[in-house]
Amino acid sequence: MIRGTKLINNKNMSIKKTFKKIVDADYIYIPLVTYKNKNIYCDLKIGDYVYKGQVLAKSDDMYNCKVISSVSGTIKDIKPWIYIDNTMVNTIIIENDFLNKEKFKKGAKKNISKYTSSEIIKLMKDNGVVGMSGSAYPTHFKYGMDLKINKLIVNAVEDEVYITSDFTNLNDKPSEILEAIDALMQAFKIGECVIAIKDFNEIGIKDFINYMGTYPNIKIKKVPDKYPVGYEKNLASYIYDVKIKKNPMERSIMVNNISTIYEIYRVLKYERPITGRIITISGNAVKNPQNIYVKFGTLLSDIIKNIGGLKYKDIVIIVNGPMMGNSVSSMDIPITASVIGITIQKNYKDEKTHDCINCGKCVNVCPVRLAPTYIKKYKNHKNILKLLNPNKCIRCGLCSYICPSKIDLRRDVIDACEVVKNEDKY
Amino acid sequence: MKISTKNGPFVKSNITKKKIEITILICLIVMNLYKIYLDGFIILFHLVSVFVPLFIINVIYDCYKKRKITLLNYIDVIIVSLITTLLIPLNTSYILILGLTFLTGIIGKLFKLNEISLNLSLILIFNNYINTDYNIYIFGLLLILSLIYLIKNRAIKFRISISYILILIIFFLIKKLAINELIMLLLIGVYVIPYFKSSPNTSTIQYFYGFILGIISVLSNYHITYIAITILSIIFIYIDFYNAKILSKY
Ligand code: SF4
Ligand code: SF4
Repeated sequence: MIRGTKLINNKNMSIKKTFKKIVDADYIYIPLVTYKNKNIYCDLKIGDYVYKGQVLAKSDDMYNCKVISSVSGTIKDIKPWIYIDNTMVNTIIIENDFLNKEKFKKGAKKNISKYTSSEIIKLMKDNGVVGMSGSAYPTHFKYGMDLKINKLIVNAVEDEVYITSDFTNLNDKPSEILEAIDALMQAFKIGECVIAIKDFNEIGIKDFINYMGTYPNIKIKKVPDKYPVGYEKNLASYIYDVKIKKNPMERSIMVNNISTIYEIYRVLKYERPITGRIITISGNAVKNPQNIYVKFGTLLSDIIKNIGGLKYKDIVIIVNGPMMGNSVSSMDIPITASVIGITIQKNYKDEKTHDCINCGKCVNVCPVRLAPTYIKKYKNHKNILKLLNPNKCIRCGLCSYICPSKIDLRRDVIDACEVVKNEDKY
Repeated sequence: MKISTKNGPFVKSNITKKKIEITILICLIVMNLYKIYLDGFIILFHLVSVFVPLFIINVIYDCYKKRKITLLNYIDVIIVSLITTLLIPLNTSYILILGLTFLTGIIGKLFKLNEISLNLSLILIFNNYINTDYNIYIFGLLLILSLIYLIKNRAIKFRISISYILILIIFFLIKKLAINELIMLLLIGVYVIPYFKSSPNTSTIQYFYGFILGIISVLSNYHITYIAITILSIIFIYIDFYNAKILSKY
């Protein structure tokens, strides 16, 4: 049984038949950030010319991720700029020449199912494929772990309320997605694949099912509409009815987000770096909520101008969905691979918090079986806290969502993680 | 353009403390009105005798804690008073109720235990006459309806009630429990045992708690049942914490 709860849903707002491709902006802002690494070193200078798809910087950690230019043009500045987590990070500002010049251009491959596993891993690494579910975890690293993969789960669950970017990919690119899954299955000798969707996605899978006849080892499975069923561990244990301690890979199960699969398709087909993605712009303050294809480094302010503006002047901007996302203080944040969507809400009054009434709801919804109310109660008692394992928290926010006293329990659990971490240092 | 930043999650469930309290209040008011209809306005005097001391204790406590005093903060006191009133033997003296409620209110506040069961267990020392002669069928029907309403609105720790009631039903079916006793114990199972403040939070322990109390209730008298609830509510806080600790490992 999956632990979690059905959320109030607002996905209908942005679900449309088609999605728009945003007009390129005059200036593109590429943050020098890779997975778990901020302000990475870049030896380019102001005035240098860069090509679309050119590597601007590389992380020197084990992940070996790349920062890639999404346009061609001239570097106008390299300076701290607001990032999606509301901090300032070094950012390369490129004046777009709208020529989309690429240094090496290859034609489209006819058949993508002939690659070997090591070729695919190399292509993923060279072209900057990362997890498109918001994590930006390097996909080449996931596939390159030298572990046997028996099963593949394609995660099209899209847990976050308001966000429908995965849904758009599922709806719009069924044949491409199936082709990429097939290529992965052949290269990595994966026996079976399950595409996991939630009930509400029903309309999106009609086309998909038409294409599926030719792929007997790929199945679609509906999962209950319970948040956070899309959390890898939850999903894998639900679909295969197995207990998973840390990571689905311990059971030889690979989980990939559906938008990541589409990016893999593009890389295998065109051998070109990933330079943009589909994101959802939604919320009650947006005039025309919709899904759009946007180049990395485009500022949110440019996007909003492009899609018809906002309804209100006093707003809250949420990056990556209202449950797990964070709010930012500026419209000038650049879109990166780890942005699945932006929700813009009319500013609202925070609900009044009350003392805990010991209703136990937070304990019974926590997907990783933590007891947020006890963690909060003992948040200043290091020794007791350690026993309650707050560091297992996946930050899903369900405890704060459900609490009738409107206590921000996730904050307390995160604070408790810090207390436990600091304790470990001594 | 004014852009505000806030802490997430940015959507919240529509379950609020106020909604829970109103749901419980609606059920209790209906039950108490029926009791007034059966037993007369004496029930109102009982209610006042429980409410006044509890209210005074809570106001003093909030003054000491320098909290704002608004009537809305005391809905819980009204709830406790309404539950207690439903279960107080009819011929209990007001002075006794006043005095014992004052005592149990203080103990309850200090040790966070089930003040309803503590109060009732003390009252039963002095007055062990339980009147169960009223129309049990209507009372039973009201109870079942309130249970459904409370569960539907998620205003109750339903696992505790369900396992408790299951035991009652089993004993009723094997004819070890009379119908009027079943209804009285149902009242305890719906309102006293799953009392938020002093009951376990993890699901397995909630079922276990209801089960144990169910067994004690059917095998003993009301007095022992109330004492058991009071004592077990304390013990189970520790068991629950221990269970939470184990669960968090996996
Ligand atoms: S935020 Fe952490 S503690 Fe809260 S429900 Fe999610 S995993 Fe559990
Ligand atoms: S959900 Fe809120 S009120 Fe209920 S036990 Fe948890 S912290 Fe307390």
